[in-house]
Amino acid sequence: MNIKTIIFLIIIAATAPSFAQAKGLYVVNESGTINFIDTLSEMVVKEIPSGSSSINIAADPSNRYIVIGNGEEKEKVWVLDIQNERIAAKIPVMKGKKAGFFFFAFSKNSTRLFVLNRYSPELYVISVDDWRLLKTIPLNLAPEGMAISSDSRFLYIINRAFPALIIFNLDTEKVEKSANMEGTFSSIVNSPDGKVLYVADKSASKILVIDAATFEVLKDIVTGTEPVDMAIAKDGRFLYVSCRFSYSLIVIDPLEMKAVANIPVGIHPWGVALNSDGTEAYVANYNENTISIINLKEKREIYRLPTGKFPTRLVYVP
Amino acid sequence: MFLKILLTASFIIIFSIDIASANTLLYVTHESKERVSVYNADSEKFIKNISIGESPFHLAMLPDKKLIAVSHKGAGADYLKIIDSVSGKVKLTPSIIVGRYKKTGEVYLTIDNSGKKLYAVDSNMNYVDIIETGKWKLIKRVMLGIQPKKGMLSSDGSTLVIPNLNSSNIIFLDVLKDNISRNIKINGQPSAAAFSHDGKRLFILDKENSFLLFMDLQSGNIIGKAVVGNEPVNLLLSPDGNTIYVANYASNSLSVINAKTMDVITNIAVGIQPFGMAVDDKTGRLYVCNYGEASISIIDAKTNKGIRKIPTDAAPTNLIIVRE
Repeated sequence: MNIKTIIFLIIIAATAPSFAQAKGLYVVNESGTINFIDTLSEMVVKEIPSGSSSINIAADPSNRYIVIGNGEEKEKVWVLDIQNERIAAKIPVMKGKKAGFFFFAFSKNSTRLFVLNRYSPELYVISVDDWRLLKTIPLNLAPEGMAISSDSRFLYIINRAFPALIIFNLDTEKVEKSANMEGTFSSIVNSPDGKVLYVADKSASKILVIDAATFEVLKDIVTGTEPVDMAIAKDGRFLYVSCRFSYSLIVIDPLEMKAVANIPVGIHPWGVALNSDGTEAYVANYNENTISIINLKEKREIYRLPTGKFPTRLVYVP
Repeated sequence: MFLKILLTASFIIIFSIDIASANTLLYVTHESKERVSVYNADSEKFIKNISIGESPFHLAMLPDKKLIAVSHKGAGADYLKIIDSVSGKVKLTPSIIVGRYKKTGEVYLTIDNSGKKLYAVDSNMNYVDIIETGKWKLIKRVMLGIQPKKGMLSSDGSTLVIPNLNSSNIIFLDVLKDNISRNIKINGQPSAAAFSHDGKRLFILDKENSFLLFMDLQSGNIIGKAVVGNEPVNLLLSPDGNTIYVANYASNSLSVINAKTMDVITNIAVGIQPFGMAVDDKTGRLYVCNYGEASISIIDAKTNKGIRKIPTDAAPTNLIIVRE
């Protein structure tokens, strides 16, 4: 091997990661790092610090930024500038050291970020322009999950106590509607047309299909043991549910309102994400330090990749 | 006074006999031990061990409820033990088979309705041995597909259905003639199969794709499917035939399915690696062997809720309910 080849190889090695930066998967690990995974080469490209006890992650709709919530730093919400690969801001929300069990929702025009934490009764409103905390609204809830309406006017929040399901009006800053429901809820998503809410009841191993306008429960769908996270296809055609204690991803057909497939994954699956064309799903296997990559056409796992310690949730950036 | 005591004493005796006769026992095979353990299903207490030999696997009780056949790994011809349930001891070791190699003890036992024949499906040797229970002699050996699993009888006792995991076919054995009357290919890995009570449908577990399949037996077509958990390995019909319980070995759960509407009713978390199941038609209790965690889960089949777990020896595999 002559010097020319060696230099050539060094150049390739140095430039390779930046090629892969266009799109991929960001996985947050509770141990305090994010993994960037190139989904084309199916390789873990990078590990970036995210703050201790980091649990949730979200990308803004313009796909320029990723936000990560951690529990133990002074500034608990960190913003990663995707293009420049650097932490662009650290936002102080919530006092004291708690688990970074945050829930994020961006307004569809990417101007506002709404933040809840499982251990905080407050709603934090953040300006995306300058990453400033604009407002802290006391809600007196123990939130377990949040979804935003397609017009960005309402937040749907599931609560550990009664009322269990709340619509919060972001214009009036008041609770618009609430309902008491029996169950131990772990996750909420809304259908792309905004008509239906899907709420996971982890103790009953069920997904409740709820009319978003009337809060009427239309159907409950049996899943595996302890459904914990959900992702819905952009066209609303399929709903994917990770089930922590049955080590599986359940595929639900919202038209038939029933499970149509069970896909075995790793140990204690948690976060679920889909790629932009809905051909692949990604599941974080919390107690195995891996993610499962699932081919949704064949409805089976095709790869498993190593991550940092205790991967919790993940987000796909196109 | 004396008469009073005598009367009380006799009452006690009668009463205690009555209690003793109402005992419900669980006979449990432990693959990693060399024995069958007996538990009192009511008090949930361990009673005794019965030595069997290497890797006991499956059990079947004769209709007279006196004899229980147990399969195990054994050596060569010796893979079957017959327990006398009254004495609780091994009564005999039928020496039946020539040309059987020592592999695992994965032999599934089914006794026909008359109690005269025992069907021993050997999952490694890919055949079923048909054994006469009176003399404990081999009548016939029928070659099956690859990795056959437990044979289940139709309600009228005329047909034994055997799923073949790795050749993806379901074999129907005519129990009168002891020959193969039908052979249906399916998509996937059939790990268990059972007839509906009316004999019109067959319930099949597809281990590979996590489905419970509903087959119309007249046409042989799959008419519906219900999603179950990871690696479904065993299914059980409720005594009324309306509910199907599926053991999901790699999801540590049971799927409960309505046998008529094909809807999944609920998911029940059990222990690690559920395998053998039995239901007590008197109490409505369902017992599940948790192979990977040395316990038996007790489930109230009326409410479909777990009641508790009985700790057992390591690797409980299968169980049967025996009334004393």
